[in-house]
Amino acid sequence: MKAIEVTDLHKSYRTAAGRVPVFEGLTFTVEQGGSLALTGPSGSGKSTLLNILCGLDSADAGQLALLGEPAGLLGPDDWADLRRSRIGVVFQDSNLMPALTLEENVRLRADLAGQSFGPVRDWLERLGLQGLGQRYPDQVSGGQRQRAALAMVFAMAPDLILADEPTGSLDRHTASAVADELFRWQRHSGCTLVLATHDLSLAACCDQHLDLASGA
Amino acid sequence: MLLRAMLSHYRRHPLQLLALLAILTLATALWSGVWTLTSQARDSMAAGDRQLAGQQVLVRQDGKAVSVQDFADLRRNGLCVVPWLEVASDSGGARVIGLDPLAMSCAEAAPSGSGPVLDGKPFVDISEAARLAKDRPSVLRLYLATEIGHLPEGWQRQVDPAALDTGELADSFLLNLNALAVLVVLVSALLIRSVYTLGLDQRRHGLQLLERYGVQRRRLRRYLLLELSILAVLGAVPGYGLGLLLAEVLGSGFGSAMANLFDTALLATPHSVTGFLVTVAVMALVVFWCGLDLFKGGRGQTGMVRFQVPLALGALIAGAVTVLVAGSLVSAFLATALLLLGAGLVTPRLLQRLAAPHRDMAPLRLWRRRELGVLIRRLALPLVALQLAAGTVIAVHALVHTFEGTFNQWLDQRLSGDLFVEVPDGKAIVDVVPVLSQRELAANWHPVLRGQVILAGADTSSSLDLMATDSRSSLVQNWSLIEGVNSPWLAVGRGAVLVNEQLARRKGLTPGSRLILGFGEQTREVSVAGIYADYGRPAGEVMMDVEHLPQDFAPAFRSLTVTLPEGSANSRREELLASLQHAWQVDTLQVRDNETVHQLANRIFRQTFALTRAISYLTLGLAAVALLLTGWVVLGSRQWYYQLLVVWGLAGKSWFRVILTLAAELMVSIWAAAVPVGIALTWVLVQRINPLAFGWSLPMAIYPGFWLELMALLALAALMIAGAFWLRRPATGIAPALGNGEER
Repeated sequence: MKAIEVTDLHKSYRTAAGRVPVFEGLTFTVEQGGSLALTGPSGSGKSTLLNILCGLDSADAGQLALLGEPAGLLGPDDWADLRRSRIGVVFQDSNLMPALTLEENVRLRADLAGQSFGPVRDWLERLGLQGLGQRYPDQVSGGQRQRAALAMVFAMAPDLILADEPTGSLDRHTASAVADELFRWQRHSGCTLVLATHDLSLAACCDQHLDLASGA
Repeated sequence: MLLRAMLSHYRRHPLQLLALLAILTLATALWSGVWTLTSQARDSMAAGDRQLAGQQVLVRQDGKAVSVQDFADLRRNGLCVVPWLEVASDSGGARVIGLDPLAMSCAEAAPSGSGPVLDGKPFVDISEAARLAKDRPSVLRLYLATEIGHLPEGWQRQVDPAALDTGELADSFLLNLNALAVLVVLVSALLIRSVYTLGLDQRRHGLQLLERYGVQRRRLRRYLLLELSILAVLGAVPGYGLGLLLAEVLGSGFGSAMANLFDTALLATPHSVTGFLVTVAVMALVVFWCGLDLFKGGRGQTGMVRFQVPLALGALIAGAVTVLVAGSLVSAFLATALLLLGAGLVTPRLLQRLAAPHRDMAPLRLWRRRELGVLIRRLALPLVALQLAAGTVIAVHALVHTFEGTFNQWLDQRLSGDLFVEVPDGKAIVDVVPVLSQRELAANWHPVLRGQVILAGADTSSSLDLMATDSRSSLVQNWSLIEGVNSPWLAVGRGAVLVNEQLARRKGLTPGSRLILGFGEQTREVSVAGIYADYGRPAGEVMMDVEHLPQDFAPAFRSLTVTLPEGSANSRREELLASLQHAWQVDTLQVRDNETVHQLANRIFRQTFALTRAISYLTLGLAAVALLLTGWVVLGSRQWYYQLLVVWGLAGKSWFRVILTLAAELMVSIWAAAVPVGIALTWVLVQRINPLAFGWSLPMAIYPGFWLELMALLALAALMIAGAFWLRRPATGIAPALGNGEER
């Protein structure tokens, strides 16, 4: 079963200088449980594509089907439902609410997804955050924050994870640890992963690789 | 180049620059407007004092009102006296003063120059004033323009009653205004500082970057101070102009209030350099206060936070104790300032404590409460400013409404009767008793006589207003007294007197106190049977039964209060008046009906508080605008996190509900903090400051309906914030950059 089907997708931005195309005629598919790495220089449309895949942005033309649902039939509330319970999004940084502790952040995400938040502490422990659950995001390191962000996504048990440079702000060692956790859980849970990254070694860990600069 | 880099913040956030300028302009307008009005009032009262200081009037020893004939007799005796005929205007506002130019010539030649000073009042020839006096209430005074050893038989000197005892009250009135002006300055200074420091916080990162590039910190601070000073001047100059405009707009109502309270016209004093310099000085102080942050660099904050609660509690306790024992207006204001300071210091901490969530709350609710705590902390200054402004509005509203209610009730007592008929000169009341005894014409009636009486004291004697009526009349027996002996009206019927609150406070009188009253040559010791409320004027007054007036007492004014039979038609009123005219053999009668007098009195007394009300509402408006502006900036800096909720699947309506609830909780917090301040301030105003400032107190009353109105206004502000935020949300995609919203 295909988790994502993109056919002849077009997207451009209107600027003062005129219309600037981001991508034109983009076509690809990702199988359920598979993983896709999106690479390309800054401005090539990686984040834009991720936004389109979670309904926060829309394409100018083309077809998109997501988790078996044709995007053309989805209204804003349907997209919101999908993001709440089936699509997990991870950014490069600032995935956590600063006024909540790490544990409360994970509980909030699980609650919105309709999941029980009993195993929240387990998730934090499995991601190496034991004893840090009561700390606030500004009281832990960047790597620990990203692990907490993964814990939030894992706690909602999504069908699809969209990760926008999840290790971009981390040192090599921490980035590798975070990526390992992500891939381990993706394989374990059978969810689909789309990853935007500049790190080619990280991209190599995915089943598929799409370079948005060349369209290949 | 450096300047351009520093100012780039405003290029990126032009609205913030406009907001800062708007706050500077509005705040300057408000405080310069209030300052202008206060200084005009001060100048006008000083001019009034100069007119009246040390002046003596001649009064008849038999207590009768002086007449034009008396003036002629005294001049024939060679005395330099100046007649002063004061005639009320139609509208009850400004008065017309009639003077005799020939008599003035001897006053101007007098070496002491103690004749009345001619500034600040409209003067006409005495013949013109006499013509007006035929159908309007008037008072004739004879000023003694030269010092002489012996007075003619039957005459005595008296300090001008118009100047009696108003000095202290006038000072209190000015002090009230000054206190209001200080409150306005403090609230607006808080607002300016909050808007400025918020902008500075946003720029801190860029400034640190410049420092890293090698720009000296000292140089950066100098530039920032220069920038702040230029902004202050740019805001203050139009603000000062707006302030003058505001003073002009508020001036008419304020002038009427002064005329009614102190018989002093508000003089249109020319715009002085001092006014502008004061505005500049206040602005410089506020700039200095804002600039302190630049030099402090965040030091001292922790210490301040540590001592905030003990300091607040200390101020609250000291304020509460002082307000209870305050014996002067200055100490009452000092106590109020301490109470407000304490409230301002403790409120943000208290609200944060109240907003703290329970751990077992639903996660989204828990987030909202935590976010509320962040907003309360980051918006502490404008929040406290809005709290104090809203508290003041609650208190002023309660004061005005209590006053209106009490005053109306008081008017109903004082004006219980349908018609007030002036007794024509030379006619006797006894002549119309047969007419008034006819039940089909008058259901009830009583006479009212007014004049002057001398209150003999240990050191000095002073003149008092006297009112005499029939204490057995059912029209006066329902008066509610502030204090009284058992069966006070019975006591009045037996020769005791009632005194008004002003006299009781000034002379420390209580029921049972004894007074020595002088009626011409005759003195009489009387007992005080009770104290009655008498609003809106400073003069002391005693009230006694007509039966106990000396036979030779000559009242200055006599009238009849008549109640028409129930359900009687207009024709009965006309029939009664015709019968009175017939009995007195006069062609016309001066008659006023109850409703007209009510309307006139209400209009006059409403003006008394018009300025206080207007300024408190303007301050509230300014505080609300500042909170909206700063709230907008703070919420903007948290936008990323609010957008995260959308990413996490909160649909449009649910998201709007969350933001609206957050904004509403913030506003309700401010409202909840303002209500106790408002109640406390109401009590201080009606029970402590008002008696000290105006000589009369009011009952304590609260108006929850108005609190709800205020809450509805704040809810509307919350809706505006949430609505504006809804419009501001990114049309597509996720907010691309973080503000400085990392704070917990």
